[in-house]
Amino acid sequence: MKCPSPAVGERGGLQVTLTLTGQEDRIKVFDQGADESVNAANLRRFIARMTGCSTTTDTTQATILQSRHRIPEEMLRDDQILVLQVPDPEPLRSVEFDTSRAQEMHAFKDYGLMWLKLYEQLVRYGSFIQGASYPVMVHKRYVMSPSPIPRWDTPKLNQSAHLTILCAGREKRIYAIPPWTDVEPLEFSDRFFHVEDHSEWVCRLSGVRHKFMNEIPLADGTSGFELSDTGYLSKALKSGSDPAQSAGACYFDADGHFHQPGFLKFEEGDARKE
Amino acid sequence: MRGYGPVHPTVNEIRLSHADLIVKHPVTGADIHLGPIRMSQGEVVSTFSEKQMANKLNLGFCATFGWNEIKVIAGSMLDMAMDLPEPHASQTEEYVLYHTESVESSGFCIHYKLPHYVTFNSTVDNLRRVAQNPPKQTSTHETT
Repeated sequence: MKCPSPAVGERGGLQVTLTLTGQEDRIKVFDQGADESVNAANLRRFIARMTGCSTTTDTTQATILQSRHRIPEEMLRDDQILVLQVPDPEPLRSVEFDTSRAQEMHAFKDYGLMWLKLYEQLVRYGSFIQGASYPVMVHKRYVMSPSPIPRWDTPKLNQSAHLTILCAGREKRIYAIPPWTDVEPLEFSDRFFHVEDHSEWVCRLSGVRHKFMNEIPLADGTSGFELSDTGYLSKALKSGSDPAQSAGACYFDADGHFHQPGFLKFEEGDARKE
Repeated sequence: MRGYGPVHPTVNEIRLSHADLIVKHPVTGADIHLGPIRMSQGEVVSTFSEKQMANKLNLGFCATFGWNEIKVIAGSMLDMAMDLPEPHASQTEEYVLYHTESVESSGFCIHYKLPHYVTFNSTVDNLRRVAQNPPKQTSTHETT
């Protein structure tokens, strides 16, 4: 027997969104930043049909945003809810196999193994090698997986105006980040968390820089770059290379500076240091 | 997702059959035969752990509704593994319920078909940085 709706990655997010959404809501659904992907389009149509809500691809117009692994470039407001789909909710799984024991470690704030894992990465590779799903400390108390968002999106959760709800359907776990909560990537006092370095990449469609890009392999062996956030891309295309005319304020400004000065730190001698 | 125990059993017997489904009538209390239902039963044997029980065969058993040969073999292996005195985490109820329910695990496999290019992009960024700034050789690697 086959389940008519297989338990694929977006089920947790879908359950939360369907619970929250009413007829007055306007939802935006995107997958890897793209509103047009098959997965996002199917979910958006399904949610609209089930709830009678309207839909949008504009981040600033949405009341509920369901995302598979991106946070929009434009800043969310306190009247918006971000729903993140989570495949693996347990940040300690890489260091503690047993979920029951991991929960005890959370209870006692016993995160020594997590710090040791990061230290081992520094010793072996010279830098942190955690890609997406970079673990964060919430409210200076709980280590949390922010879902597999790229590191570019991780600082956007810190002291954010909006409510974030994360749900893992397969593991039946739901958790949330209240508005205006400290969400800090795990880092040492002298070795810091870094977002992906896309500073040299220019969107070949809009000319925009200093946003999260998709890298597209080209026939000649080089790469082309396009904005990952397609809602933002469509605004950038409308207004030339100056999206500020039609888009809302962004977490990273046109020069790549994060909107909370000093939150992202750089080691001495790092070229990215201002 | 979290790894597996090192078990290789031998299948003793697989039984596919019909079983009579009998329920008690809510009013009269009489047993009523509703009809046959498909059942599978599986038995596997294994020495399991060379250290602990190398000279013994242990029996694992599983039964399911429907005719599911692979499922009863898998279930029988789990039955055996989960009786160990100090099981590996992959042999605990918590692990098994999270990860081996068939619809769940097939769904997890299907999810690999969804796009993952942002996650991959993040990983590639790390690989490039490590390639550009390889870690310094520490003194322990030097020979004297």
